[in-house]
Amino acid sequence: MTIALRQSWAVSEATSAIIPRTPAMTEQQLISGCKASDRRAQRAVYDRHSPVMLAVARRYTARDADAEDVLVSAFFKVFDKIGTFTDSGSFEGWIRRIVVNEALMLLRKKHALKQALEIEDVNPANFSVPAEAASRLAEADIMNLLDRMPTGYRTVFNLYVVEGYKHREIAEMLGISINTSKSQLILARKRMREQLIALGYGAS
Amino acid sequence: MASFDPFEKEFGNRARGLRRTPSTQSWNQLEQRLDRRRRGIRILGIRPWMIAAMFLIIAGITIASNLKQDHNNPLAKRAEFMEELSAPYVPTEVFEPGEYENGMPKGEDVEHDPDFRDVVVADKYRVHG
Repeated sequence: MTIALRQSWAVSEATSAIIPRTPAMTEQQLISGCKASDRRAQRAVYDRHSPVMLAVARRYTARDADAEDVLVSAFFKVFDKIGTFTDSGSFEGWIRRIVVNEALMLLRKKHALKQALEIEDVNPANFSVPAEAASRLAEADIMNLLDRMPTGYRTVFNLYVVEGYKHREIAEMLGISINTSKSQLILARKRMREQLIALGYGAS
Repeated sequence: MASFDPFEKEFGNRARGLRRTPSTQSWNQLEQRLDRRRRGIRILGIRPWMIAAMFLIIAGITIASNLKQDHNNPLAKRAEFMEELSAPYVPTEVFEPGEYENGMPKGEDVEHDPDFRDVVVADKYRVHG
């Protein structure tokens, strides 16, 4: 038994010596490889960026299956449109924008963004949450908090707070007015505060 | 960063750092889509320059065939009117041989060229009034 194991180990060692390992490629090499439709480069880009991008997609879709669908369509678009990527911005940022756009397309397809409200006379300060609450949040709770929000609130909250888009840009992306975008954010903050209290993070 | 709220800033940082491992199915699906696209490109193999070249070839053939065509050939022309074959032929003018003299209408002076005075008109062309 021991001999057999030793032999199999020796074979695997010999095999690994024959087949050279793919050296770690730089981002520029990966981009060039993807432009040449090199499947190894595409796989390497996917392996490197897919975990973060799946989390991005999941923040918008609230369903794991939808998030994976978004991930697949987004990476397909990444490899299809790689020729249009210029080195002026970061590659990860470019992929992230594609993932966000694909997620928004899915939400539009499901008509999930139609119920957007516009509210007036609301003081956003009433819904502020102490910063230490966020630092204590577990990862699962972050996703849980977003999941419990209606799609409109969640989308605007994600775009504004997490991605850093301005209300004008959000209004353009979602086809809503700037005031609606602001209203959705206020309501999202209100919901966030309520959820934090419910989860025991106790806003002041 | 659009938000300056301390909680939101911290929340954004934490949310951006989230990671989730995709299932192996996702890569397989993506690979299938990439393969399908690659096959589609290989089968069709159509590029913009190919479309332009095809257009030029078709335009060239059309122009060449138009130049070659004989527009004066009556057989190549389309019928311009329909002839009424069933109606009987009725001449519009009645030819009266008596009104003509020496091949010219009666009353008109006929100039006799001295060079042709010896020319004799054949019987079949003579008007017998």
